[in-house]
Amino acid sequence: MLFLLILGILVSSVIILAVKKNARSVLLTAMSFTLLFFHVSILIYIAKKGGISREMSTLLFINKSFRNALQYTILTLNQLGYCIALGRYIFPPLLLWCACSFSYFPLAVKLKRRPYPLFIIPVLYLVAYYPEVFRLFISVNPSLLVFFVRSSQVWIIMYIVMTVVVMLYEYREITAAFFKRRFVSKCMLLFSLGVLYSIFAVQDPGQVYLFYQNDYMWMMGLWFLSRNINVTLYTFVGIICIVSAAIGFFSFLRYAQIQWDEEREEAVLKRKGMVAYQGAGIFIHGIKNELIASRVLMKRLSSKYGDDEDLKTLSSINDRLINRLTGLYSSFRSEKYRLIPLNAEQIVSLTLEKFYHKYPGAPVRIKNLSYGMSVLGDAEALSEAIYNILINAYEANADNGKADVPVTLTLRRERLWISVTVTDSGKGIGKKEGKLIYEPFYSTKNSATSWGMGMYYTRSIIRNHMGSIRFESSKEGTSFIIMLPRYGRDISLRWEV
Amino acid sequence: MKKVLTVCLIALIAVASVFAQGASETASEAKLQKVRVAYMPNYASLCSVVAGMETGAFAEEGLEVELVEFADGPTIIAAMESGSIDIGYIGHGAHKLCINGRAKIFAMSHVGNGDAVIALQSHGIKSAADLKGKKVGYASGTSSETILKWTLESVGLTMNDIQAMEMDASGIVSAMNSGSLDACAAWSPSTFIILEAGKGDAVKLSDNLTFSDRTASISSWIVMDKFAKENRDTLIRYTRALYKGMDYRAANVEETCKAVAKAIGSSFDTMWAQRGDAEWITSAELIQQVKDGSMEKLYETQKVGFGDAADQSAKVSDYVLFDVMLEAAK
Repeated sequence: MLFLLILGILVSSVIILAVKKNARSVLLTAMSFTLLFFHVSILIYIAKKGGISREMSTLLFINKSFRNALQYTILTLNQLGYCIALGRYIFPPLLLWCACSFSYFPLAVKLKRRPYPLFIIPVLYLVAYYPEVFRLFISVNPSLLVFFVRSSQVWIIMYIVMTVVVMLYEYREITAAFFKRRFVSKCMLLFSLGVLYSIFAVQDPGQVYLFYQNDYMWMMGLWFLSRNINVTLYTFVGIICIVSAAIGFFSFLRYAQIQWDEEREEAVLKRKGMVAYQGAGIFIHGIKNELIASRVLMKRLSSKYGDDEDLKTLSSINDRLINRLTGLYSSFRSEKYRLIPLNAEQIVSLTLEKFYHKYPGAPVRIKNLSYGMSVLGDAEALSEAIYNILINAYEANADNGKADVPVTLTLRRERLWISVTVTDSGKGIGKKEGKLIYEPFYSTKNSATSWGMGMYYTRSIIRNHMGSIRFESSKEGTSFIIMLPRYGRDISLRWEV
Repeated sequence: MKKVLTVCLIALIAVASVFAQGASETASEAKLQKVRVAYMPNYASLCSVVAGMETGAFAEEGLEVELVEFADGPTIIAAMESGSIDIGYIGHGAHKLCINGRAKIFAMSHVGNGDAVIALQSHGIKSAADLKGKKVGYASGTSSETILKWTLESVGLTMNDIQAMEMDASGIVSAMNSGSLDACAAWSPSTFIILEAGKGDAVKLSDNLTFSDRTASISSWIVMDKFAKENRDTLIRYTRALYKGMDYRAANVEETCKAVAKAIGSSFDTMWAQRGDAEWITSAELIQQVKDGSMEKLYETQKVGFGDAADQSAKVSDYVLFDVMLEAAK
C-alpha cells in the first residue's frame, strides 16, 4: 500500500512538473523518486529476509507475485545495502532544500540558491557507507560501527527537525490568510513524504551487508520486525499520508491552474486590449487634442478676465481630464513607465490625494502594518491603479447604503512582496461579473460616468510592475489584494495616517 | 477537496471494519494460546510442526501456532531478540549464535543433509579446485558459508581465492539460474531448484555427507532465554505437540508432504523431493538419544566443527535444554 502511495506521489510530482516547469517541481520529483527508490530497496530487503505476517505482506507488497519478484531480485547484499544508503542519505537534504525553496527568509533564500552545504554530511556518509570503505573502517576500529550508526541517526533526525523548523518559521512569517492556507496545503505534500521516509529511516544500510558479521542484529535488531512497526501503524500512517498528499497535490495543481488561467487570461486581455487600443486610441487622441485646445483657450480667458474662481475650477477639471486621458493612453502603452525606487507610503499618499479630490471627506481607514517598504515602480501609474480600486470600493459601499462605513486600505509586508488590500462593505461581486471584471470597457456602473477601463487599466499597471492582483468576494464585501515585489532594503521611514 | 475527504473517510471506515472483524475472530479463538513460530520455507523446517497442526496436536495442548516465514536462521534469532517471534527453527549455521549465548535450543529437529555447493559446468567448474577465481554466491552466517569454507579447504583454497558474493538465499537461486554466478553454496530447497533448473549443467561439488566426519549438521527449535524461563509450561506443551507431529510424519510421509506444500503454497513434488534431506527421527528415538547422551555428543561435534566462530568453552548443556525434551516426553 505504501509502495502504491509513494508511486502515486511520484506520478503526481511528474504531473506537477509537466504542468509547472520550474526548479521547485524538479526538486519535488527528485525527492519523490529518491523516496520510491529507498522504499523499494527496503521492500526488497524485507522480501528477502521475511518474517512478516500475511496481513503485513499484503499491506507492503499488495500481492505475492510482486513480493516474489522483489525477493528473487539478483542483488548482492553490498549492492542492496548501498541502494538503501543512497535513498536514506539523499532524501533528507532534498527535503530540507525543498522546504527552503518554499521559504523566503534570508538563510532559506541563500540555501535555495546554493544548497551545497546541505549535501556535505550526506555525501561524507555515502562515502563512509560504501561497503568496502565501511568494512575497512570497522576492521581498523570496531567502535566506529556504533559511531556511524548513531551519528547517522542523529543527523537524519536533525535534518527532519530543521525542515519542520523552516516550515514553522515561514508559516509564522506569512501574515495573509490566503498565503497561509496555500503554504499549509503545499507543505502537506512534504509532510507526507517526510512521514513515509521516517518509517524506515531508522534502518541502517550497513546492517544489510554486515548483518551476520558484526553486532548489528543485537545492537538494533531488525527495524522492520520491531513491535512498533505493525499493521495498525502502517494503516494509520497510510491514511494520514494519503490525505495530506492528496491535499498537497491538489493544492499544487490548483496553484498551477490558477497561474495557467492567469497566463491565458493575460493573453486574452492583451488581445482585447489591442483591439480596444486600435479603436479607443483614435478616440482618446481626438478628445485629448480637444482638451488641450480648451486649455489654451482657458489660459487666454484667464489672462483676459483675471483670477476668476469658476474659470480656475474649469481649468483644473480640464487639466485632470488631460492627465486621466494620458494615463488611460499609457495603459495601452506600458513601456512608457518610469521605474524608480518608491516608498510604499508615498504611493498611498498620492492615491489618497487623488481619491479625496474626487470624494472629499469619504471615509477611508488606513492600516499600515509594515512601515518603510519600498517598491520599484512608477508613482503616477501605481497610485492610479490603487485609486481606481479605492473609488470602486467607496462606490460599492455607497450602493449598498454604507457610504459612512470606511473603506479599508491595508499595507503590509508579505515575505518578498508588498501587499496592498482594499476592502469594501459592498454587495460583493458575482461569479459571472468576476470573470469579466478586468476586461476593457466592461462596467456595471452608469456608462455616462464610467468607461469601464478602470480595472483593465489597474491590472495592466500591476502586471507591468511584475505584480499580481486578485480579489475575494462574499455578500459581506470584497477585498482586492495587490501584490508588488518588494525592492531592496526597506526604507526606515515611519509614516502615520 | 470534499471528494478527497469522502474517499479518505470511506477508506477509514473500511479499515476500521477490517480491524473490527479481526477483533471478533480473535475473541472467538481466545481459548487457545497463540505462539508465533518462525520457519524457513522448506520441508525440513516445517514437516514436524505442520504435521502437529494437521493432527490437532497443538490444539490439544491449548496452543495456536501462527507460522511466520523467514529467509534464514540468523534473521529468525534477530526477530526473536526484537520480540516479534516466540519460537524459531534454525539450520546448522545459526547454531553458533546459540553456542555464543544468544538463544536456547529446546528440541532437536533432525540431522540434515540439505546444504550443498553447486557449480555450473559451462562456467568451467567440474570440481572444487576449479572454484579458484570464480564468482561464488553464499549467505554468510548460515550453513551455506560453513559448507563453502569446508569445500574450499578440502582443496587447499580459502575465501580469498574466490570472488565471494554475499547474497540472500533467494538471490542466489535467481543468480544461478541466470548464470550471473559461477557457483554457490545453498540449502534445500534452493539446492533442488538450482539443480533442477540447471539440469545437465549444474553439478553438486559437496554436501553435508561429504563432511560428516567434521561436524553434525543439526537443525533445532530455539527460544530466547527469557522466554524459556518465563514460559516453561508453554515450551513443554509445544515440544509435546512437536513429538506427536514427528511421529505422524514418520508414519505418513505423503500426507505430511501434502500438508507442508499446502501450508506454504508450494507444490507437492517440491516437498516430496526434499523428504530425503535428513534422517527423520521419531519422538522415541529422540528421547533415547537424550537419555543415552548421543544427542549431547552430536551437539558437541557440531560446536567443535565451528572452530573459532563459536565459543568453545561453552557447555552443550548450557544452551541445549535437555530437561525440556525429557519433561515433554512424560
